[in-house]
Amino acid sequence: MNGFVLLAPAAAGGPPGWILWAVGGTVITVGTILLGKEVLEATRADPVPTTRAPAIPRTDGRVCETCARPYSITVHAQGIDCGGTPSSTIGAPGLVNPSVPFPAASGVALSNVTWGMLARRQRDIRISAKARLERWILARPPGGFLGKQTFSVPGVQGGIRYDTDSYGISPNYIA
Amino acid sequence: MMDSTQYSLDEIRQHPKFPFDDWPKDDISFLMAELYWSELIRSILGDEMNHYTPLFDTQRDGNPILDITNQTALRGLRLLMIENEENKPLYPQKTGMEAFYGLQPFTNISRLPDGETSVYELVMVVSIDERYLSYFEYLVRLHCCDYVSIEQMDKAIAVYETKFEFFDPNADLSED
Repeated sequence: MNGFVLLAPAAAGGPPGWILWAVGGTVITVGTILLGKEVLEATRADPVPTTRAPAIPRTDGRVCETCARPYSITVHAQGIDCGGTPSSTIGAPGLVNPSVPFPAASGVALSNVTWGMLARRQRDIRISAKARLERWILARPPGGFLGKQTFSVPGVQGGIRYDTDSYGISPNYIA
Repeated sequence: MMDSTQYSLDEIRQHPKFPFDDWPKDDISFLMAELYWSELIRSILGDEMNHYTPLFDTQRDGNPILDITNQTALRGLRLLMIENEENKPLYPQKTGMEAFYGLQPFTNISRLPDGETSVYELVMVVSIDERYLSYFEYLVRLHCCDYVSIEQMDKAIAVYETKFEFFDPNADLSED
């Protein structure tokens, strides 16, 4: 509510009305603001402790400065068609660096080396999985990635898939 | 109504958005799905859960939605949650590569965060479809509680794959 608008008719009555308009308008406007603030605060519920589900806690994503572990990445084809068991693996040797994390481009390059090691049938069944893996590496989380990414061939026996692993004291697949 | 300090599986199942199919786009559904999987695993593992810790983060794309490891026994369990992106018919309307399955398990040799120590891992590609629940529970218990060998796990998974008519790549290898 604006007190100056409310008392506008008084302003039309000459100088005495102007005083009423100026003083009264100020009082009404300031009062309305204070009252509104009080009402707003009164209608807000007090903070109530919310119930929290016991989700599995997140891992600590900080750089592990005391862990003497190198940066490493791998890209592998895995599954029963790579050696007879679901955990059988074909792939280029992993890249390892003691001090520098690997950029996303290294992952894509490694994928192409692994791809060249596969027979035609091993490639054919993984065309979509390879595309998804490389798309993921190029898009990757903003801060890079530590862990395992698996892109499986759906509806097929024996865990046929295309994977990448990333280890180190901080994420690989950075810019 | 979810007013307890700990959501039970039944409470999660009663949520109006269960089974949270819109998780790829809706953050609340994603978080509820993450809670569903963690509570489901907790209910299956019971006290054995005390031996498992998360060593790698959940990812927003569901790959993984859960990743826990027993660092003493060197056993891991990783769940990858997928959506039916291509709108494939659900099994049993179709089978094999033409079908969408809510559970696709396989074994894997993984690593601890040091990048060197091998971990024997059960990986399950999943969506929230409780028709698969008995098989899911059976395989998780076999791997994470009974600690059976990798060969026994592969056999148990092969039985599941055959029953659910997954495509067998070995049946058609003559051309290679």
